[in-house]
Amino acid sequence: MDGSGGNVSSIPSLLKKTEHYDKDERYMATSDLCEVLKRQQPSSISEYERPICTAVLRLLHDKSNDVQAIAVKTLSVLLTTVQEEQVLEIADSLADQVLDASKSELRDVYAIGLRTLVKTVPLSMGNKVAQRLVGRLLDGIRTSANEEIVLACLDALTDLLQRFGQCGALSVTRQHEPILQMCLTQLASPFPVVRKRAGTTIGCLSVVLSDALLMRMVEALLTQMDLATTTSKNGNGAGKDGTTPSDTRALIRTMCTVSSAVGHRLGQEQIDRILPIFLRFTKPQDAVTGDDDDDGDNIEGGIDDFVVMKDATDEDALALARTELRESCFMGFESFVLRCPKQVEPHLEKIIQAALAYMRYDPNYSYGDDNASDGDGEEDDEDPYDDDGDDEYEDDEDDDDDDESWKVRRSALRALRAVVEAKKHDPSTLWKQEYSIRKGQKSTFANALVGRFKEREENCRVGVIDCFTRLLSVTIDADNAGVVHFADSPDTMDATNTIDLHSYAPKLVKACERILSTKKGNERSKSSVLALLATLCRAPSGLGGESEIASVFAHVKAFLSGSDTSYALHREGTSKALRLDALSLVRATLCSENHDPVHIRKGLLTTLLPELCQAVKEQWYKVIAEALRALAAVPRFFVEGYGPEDDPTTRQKEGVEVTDMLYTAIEPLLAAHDVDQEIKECALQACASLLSNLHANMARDKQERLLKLLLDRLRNETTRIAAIKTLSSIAATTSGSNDRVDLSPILADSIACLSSFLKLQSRSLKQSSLEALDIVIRKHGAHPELAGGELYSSAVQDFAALVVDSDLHLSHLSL
Amino acid sequence: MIQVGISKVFVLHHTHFSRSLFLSRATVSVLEVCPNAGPAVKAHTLEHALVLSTSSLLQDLALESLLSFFKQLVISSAIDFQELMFLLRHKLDGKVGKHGVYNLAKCIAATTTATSQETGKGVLEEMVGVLEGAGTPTDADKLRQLQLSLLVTGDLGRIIDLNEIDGVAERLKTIYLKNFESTSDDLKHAAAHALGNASVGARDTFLPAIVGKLDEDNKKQQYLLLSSLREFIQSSFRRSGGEGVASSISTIVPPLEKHCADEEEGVRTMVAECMGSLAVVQPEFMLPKLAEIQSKHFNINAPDGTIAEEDSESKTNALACWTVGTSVKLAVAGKVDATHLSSSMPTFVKLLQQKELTVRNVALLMVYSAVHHMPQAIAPLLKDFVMPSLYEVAELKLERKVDLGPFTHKVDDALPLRKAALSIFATCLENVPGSIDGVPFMIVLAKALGDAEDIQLHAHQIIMSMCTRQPDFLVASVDSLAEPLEKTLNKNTSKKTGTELERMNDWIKSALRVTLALSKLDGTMNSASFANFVGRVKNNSKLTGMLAELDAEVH
Repeated sequence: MDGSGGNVSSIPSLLKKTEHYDKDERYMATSDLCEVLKRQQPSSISEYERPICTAVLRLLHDKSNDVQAIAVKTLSVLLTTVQEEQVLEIADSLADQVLDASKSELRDVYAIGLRTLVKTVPLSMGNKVAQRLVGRLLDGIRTSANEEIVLACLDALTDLLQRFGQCGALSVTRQHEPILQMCLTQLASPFPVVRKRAGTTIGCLSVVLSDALLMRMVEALLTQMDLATTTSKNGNGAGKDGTTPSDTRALIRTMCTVSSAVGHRLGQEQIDRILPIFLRFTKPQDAVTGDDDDDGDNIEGGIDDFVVMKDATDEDALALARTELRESCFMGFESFVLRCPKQVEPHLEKIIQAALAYMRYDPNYSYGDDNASDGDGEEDDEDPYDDDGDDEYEDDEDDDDDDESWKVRRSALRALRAVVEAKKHDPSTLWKQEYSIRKGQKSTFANALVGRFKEREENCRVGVIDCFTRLLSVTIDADNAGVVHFADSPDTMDATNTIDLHSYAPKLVKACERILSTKKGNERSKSSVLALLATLCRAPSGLGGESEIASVFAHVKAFLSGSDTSYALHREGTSKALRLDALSLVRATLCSENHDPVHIRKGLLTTLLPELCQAVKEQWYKVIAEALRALAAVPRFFVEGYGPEDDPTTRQKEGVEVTDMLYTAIEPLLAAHDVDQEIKECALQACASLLSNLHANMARDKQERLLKLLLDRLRNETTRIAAIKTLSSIAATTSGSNDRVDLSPILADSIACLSSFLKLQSRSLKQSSLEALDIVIRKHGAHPELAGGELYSSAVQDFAALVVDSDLHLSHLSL
Repeated sequence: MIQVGISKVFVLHHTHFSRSLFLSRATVSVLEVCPNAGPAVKAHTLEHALVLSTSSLLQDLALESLLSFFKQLVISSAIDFQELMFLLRHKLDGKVGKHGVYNLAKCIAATTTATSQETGKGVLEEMVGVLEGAGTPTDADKLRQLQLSLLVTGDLGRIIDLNEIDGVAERLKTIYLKNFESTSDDLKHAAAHALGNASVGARDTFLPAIVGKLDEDNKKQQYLLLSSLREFIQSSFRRSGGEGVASSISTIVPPLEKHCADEEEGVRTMVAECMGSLAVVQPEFMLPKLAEIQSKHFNINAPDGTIAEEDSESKTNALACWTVGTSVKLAVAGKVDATHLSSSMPTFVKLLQQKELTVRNVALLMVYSAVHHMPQAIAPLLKDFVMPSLYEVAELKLERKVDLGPFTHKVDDALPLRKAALSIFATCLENVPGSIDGVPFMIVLAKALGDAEDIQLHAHQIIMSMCTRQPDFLVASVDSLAEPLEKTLNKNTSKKTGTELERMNDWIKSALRVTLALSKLDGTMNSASFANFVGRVKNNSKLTGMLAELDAEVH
């Protein structure tokens, strides 16, 4: 580049311009300088290094903000080009500025500069840079009373630890201990922001600390926590006896950060000390709900002792502090349960109790029904707790906007979810063991979750549902692995690893329906509920009996109806994503082996089928494909789904009706050329299922039409593999010799077509073609038209070419 | 989004295909439905099929298909039987490999069974005649013809009962036994193979001959007779699911037991193959029997892995235990019934306690086979009985110096044992992950990373697969892995050249791959010593080239 801006020789003039009186000129000059530095080899500017550094440092405290910004940007380029000496000089100079208490107005810029330096300086210089900086930053924190300086120093330290802590910059490693001490003292800082920032720094530090130091750090945190709790227990409030107990919240928050970063390195001993402290803040009896008796709010004493703060006296701040503290605790539980399940084991029961209680923590709202659905499954809705009347008191002063209690519920739910993960190998206790929650209530884990489907806050409700879905899913997996068993009937409940899902299914379906039937919104909950129901289909008892299936179908119908294209503009009710989920649920239901085919047939016939057939007219290709997959699963129910008591003539009539409906839905998509590949394949699949199961109910011309379309797909390169599968599946259908699809309209053509594939390169195509040919010929080949053997003679030639010992499998298929 | 398994229709598809795999033969199907296609088949397919019939690669499904193709040709009269027979028999020339002759014999036998009984009998009579008049030829062509005839008679004898054709069985018995004395190895083995197969059809004539001869203690013939016996057991099982074997088991087992401590390893291997196959056919009888043999011979005195020169009792016992271990190993590979196996497994697992090297090695191989093929049979024993022995083996070193004149060479007799132990650990991680206790296993793994080259490479593979399956173990002990890995990465390559250098580089690259994979795991870089190690690796100029190659591998 030899443009005016890109040359080394232009540097002196640019440097001069950076002192120009016009700020725009200075800006342009700095920007050009930055470009030059980017383009040049480091060696070529060596003579200008010093003046450039001086200039850039000066520009950092330029009067114009824009110039400052571009100077910071230039700094980051400069740092990668100049020599170590200069870098150190810049570091020193920036540190001077940051620590200078008199320069408060520009400190932000310098701090950014310093952090830029730490983040961009070449790795090889890390050691030296850190050597210069760590000591000064620590001094800055120790001696400065200025909140901003301390914050800037902590930030820079955090960056240093993140960048150089892990790759062995010795000068940082040596300073671990002083840094640790400093951060621990800062946890007791009078400024909340500083306490928070110090916690973050400790989090980064914990990652790189040696084991010994880490243990000391945890020890120190624990001692301070003990100190804080004992002093406040004595009723001294904060720091009356001369010591300054650190803010408990900051300590706990730090502990959580540490445990989520290096939880797996903590030993049993530490965990045994940490968890009880956390548990003290999450006592189940304090988890008040709006449905509590009126003494509810007064028993908060347990926690308030610990959150008394110098700067929080009024009720609102207190409540906020409580919320934050508890949220942190549950986050801590989550990370402990996930990171070190073994060590947590002894405390797990208490954690579950606490989380179950706080999952319902909602002091300002009444659900009006108290614990009705939390109770045991057998209990009816008339609940003994309900006797203090229907006087739902809702405190008018508590606006929903101010109510932060949902954050506690959310983090409690995350802890519960972690418990499910930890127990996924044997989740039986979560179904069987009763945990006492509060006020003498007892419930199993699973039951308690189902009881919370009524949750009013969407985020939490999704959490509840997803947590239960996960529990159900891991239980089904454990059942498949043989660890637990689902009871065959409610009576065989003796073994500890037997789980009775029968009593849950109806309750669950009901709870799900309550959510599905809400008028508007709740989209995420609805989606979660659909996923839950789909998971339930995998369980041995499925969705349940006739009534459950019928009502689930009715709800799905509500989602699908109105999705007719003519109403396209008027369907704010359900989004297309939700309709896709609904169709997936239908498919899961139909494909599950766990339902009585008779129930499904009735459900389909009375409720769902017309909407299902309509769904293939949607616009989004995924919905169409999913609808086709669901339709592919339909036909078998009109073969299997009849008992001996069903009248053959109605059966016949139903069969013809359904076949017509399915034909009308599938045929256009099988014929269409301008549709998505996925749709074509799903249409083939649906066609195979329809022909194989219900061809007896279909008029000849319709059968021929479908077969001809199939032949078209077979001849088309993009769809032939799917068509081969379809053809062999149709050909293979045998339920009695008369009950075969008559392939004769396309028999000769398809054999010729399949044989021609054998001449092509693709091995998998050859293999599927041979397999299909064998089935087609064996089952349908003895046709009088073909008895002359001309067609076969030419086909045999194609087979013969594949009989070679270099591919024995194809030889085997061809012979 | 709702996740559901693949849809019903395609599930049906799959089961359908796996069922039809055994039936699916396009040309045979054509001939079945349309005999008129016969001439075309004869014109085009026959030639390929004949080439295939002597291929030494031919086996399993393709062989079965070929046999049914030839049968179908005769059945649908696409070709005259004699013509086909002529073509087949003339496929035999000098170019046909050893295995090819056996395949060709099977084709001829199968074709013969498809024709009329009279014609078939003619073929058989003719062959017996040729064999009887053969004398002791030395001409290679002649020998090959005789070998083929022997094999064909045997294969026919497996399919039909030779006793039904007057006198042929007795004549063949004499022929087979005479060929045991032949100077040609091919003829001896062909005779043994034929004798075993013919026993399947005409058990009463041939089986007593085998068992009686075994009792005669003719050292030279034992191996051949045992291989006949194995052929009988296996063919009989394939043919009738073991009924034939069941009724004669009481006559078969005593001679086997007698030879189970034979000094010839070949004989013992054959005994083990017989016993292993018998265990598959008759697990309820044979597995306790094996356990009994083991207990009878369990007293082996070999504190350092070898038996004292004069201790003949221990030596015999070690040989017997070796045979038992091998038999069980083969039985497992042959898919013995798992429930029966699990009731005898506690005894077999005790073989791990033996200190004698060959027995210990075979015990490890047996356990490996069990963990690999039927983990459910051994899973309950792993934690308490198998793992402690494995930890012991992983620590074992038996180095001795071998004097090769100008220089001495160090040999570690425990190396194969350690290899086997590591293989078992790897398979357990895959099949029964619950049996592995992370802490002691990681110690073993760290040690393996510093062991001989191929053990290191295996350890590398294990770590790579653990990265996705059991990252927790790795993260918890990543500290201990850094040192041995670094040692390998810093190996000096300057003195190596050619293939040696290449191998060395591959080795180092493998270690580097492991290092990178470990460093990508969530949490490993939190370990200061490991992170330092990775930092050093990334700054090591000698490794830059390899790092770039590995990066390219990932993308």
